[in-house]
Amino acid sequence: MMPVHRRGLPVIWVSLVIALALTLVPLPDWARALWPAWVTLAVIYWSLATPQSFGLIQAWLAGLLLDAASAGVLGQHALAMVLMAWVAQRFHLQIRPFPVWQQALVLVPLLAAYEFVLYWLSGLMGLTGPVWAWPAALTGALLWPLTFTLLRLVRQRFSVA
Amino acid sequence: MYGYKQHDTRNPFTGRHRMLALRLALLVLLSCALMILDHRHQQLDRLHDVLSVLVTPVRWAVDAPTRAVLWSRENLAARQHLITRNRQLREQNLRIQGDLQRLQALQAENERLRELLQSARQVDQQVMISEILAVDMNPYRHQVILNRGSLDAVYPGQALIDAHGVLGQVTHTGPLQSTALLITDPNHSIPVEINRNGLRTIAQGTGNTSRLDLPYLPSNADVRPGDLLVSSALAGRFPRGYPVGIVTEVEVIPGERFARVTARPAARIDRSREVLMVTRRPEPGGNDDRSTDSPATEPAAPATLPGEMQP
Repeated sequence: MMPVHRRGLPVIWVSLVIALALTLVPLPDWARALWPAWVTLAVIYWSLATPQSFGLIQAWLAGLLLDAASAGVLGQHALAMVLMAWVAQRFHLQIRPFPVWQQALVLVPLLAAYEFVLYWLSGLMGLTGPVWAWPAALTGALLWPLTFTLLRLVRQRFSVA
Repeated sequence: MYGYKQHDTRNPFTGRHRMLALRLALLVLLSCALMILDHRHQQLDRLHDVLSVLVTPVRWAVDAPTRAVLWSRENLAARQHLITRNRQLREQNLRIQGDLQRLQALQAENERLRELLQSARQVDQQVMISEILAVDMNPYRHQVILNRGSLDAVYPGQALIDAHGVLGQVTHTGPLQSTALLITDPNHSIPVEINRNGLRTIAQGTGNTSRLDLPYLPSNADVRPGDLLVSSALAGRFPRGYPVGIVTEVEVIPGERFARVTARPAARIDRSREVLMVTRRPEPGGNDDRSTDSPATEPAAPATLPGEMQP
């Protein structure tokens, strides 16, 4: 029998895999630049809501999976993801009491930083082409209330602690 | 915070925060190590394979709607439409068969001439049909996922063509799927020659699916709009003689040593679903080194050019 705080893990991982599939949905170029980082949104949600069962290592693994799925250099998304999860877990007590729309405001700089880290690492690796995808941070924040509500329903339905 | 002083040892959060910071530091270091190993040394084949198998079902699931649409289009087509299509294809087949007969004669003649000249014979080529999955990845890299992997004998560096020309090359292989870099990726370069006069140069991707740049042609080079660029086998990676692009624009800037030449890819970069993977017998003295992830460094030419020409 798993310890109580681990029982929700399968549910969390199913939500992360769905977020991963959403990330991979084929889109036209203009929509691509606005498509939010779904996995990051989910990771931030679980880091805020259940920091005791969703740790940094799992955020890191989700990032690694994203690296593999996007056929990039392993470790790039993992690094950006673990930074976001750390911020969310470190300040979850401060962020959680906010109403959802204020949480969305907090997410704007956070998601912009996430995109910036990805962009910066691409630059370090000598890839030409990538730009800082900050518009995705805005749409990500806009979609936060939706993500939050859905994932909270999932969390309550499956009583993920 | 939380009504305690920061350094109060009774603060239950301080210890937790320290643990968190420690874990963060370790994971950041681990990520950096992975990135360096993967990007600089390409030593993570096993990890790539494992992760590739893990994400394979996700890719299939994302591709499923596209597959369903194509399937229903095939299966629900009207009879009249099928008959017309069938007739068209039969006519096309007849024409291609005709061309093929001439090609066989030409090939035989070519081989005889090569024997007379005592030059190396062309390598036998085999093709395998493969499908591009409708899966989006990093928007700034022109990469595609193919539904064949190392179990189907796909290897890194394998060339990819469609019915119209060269598409790209395989960079990573998983057991069931592989990743290919397209010729329009900004970090991709392909050695080409101008079909009309055999002038050799390099075509670089631009990140735009309808444009290639040819930055290393001198201002006085014999190149015109409309010239066909075909792959040259210089880097030992692409098979020789497949169309790569058509020159669209030649701009000679007075005082510059190199002309600004752009081309349009011959392959239908963003519209192909079925593609051909060209298998080559490794040549003696082979090029079976592992594919580097940035084939831009592969062709010999850019490295030997003056430093000022590097973008």
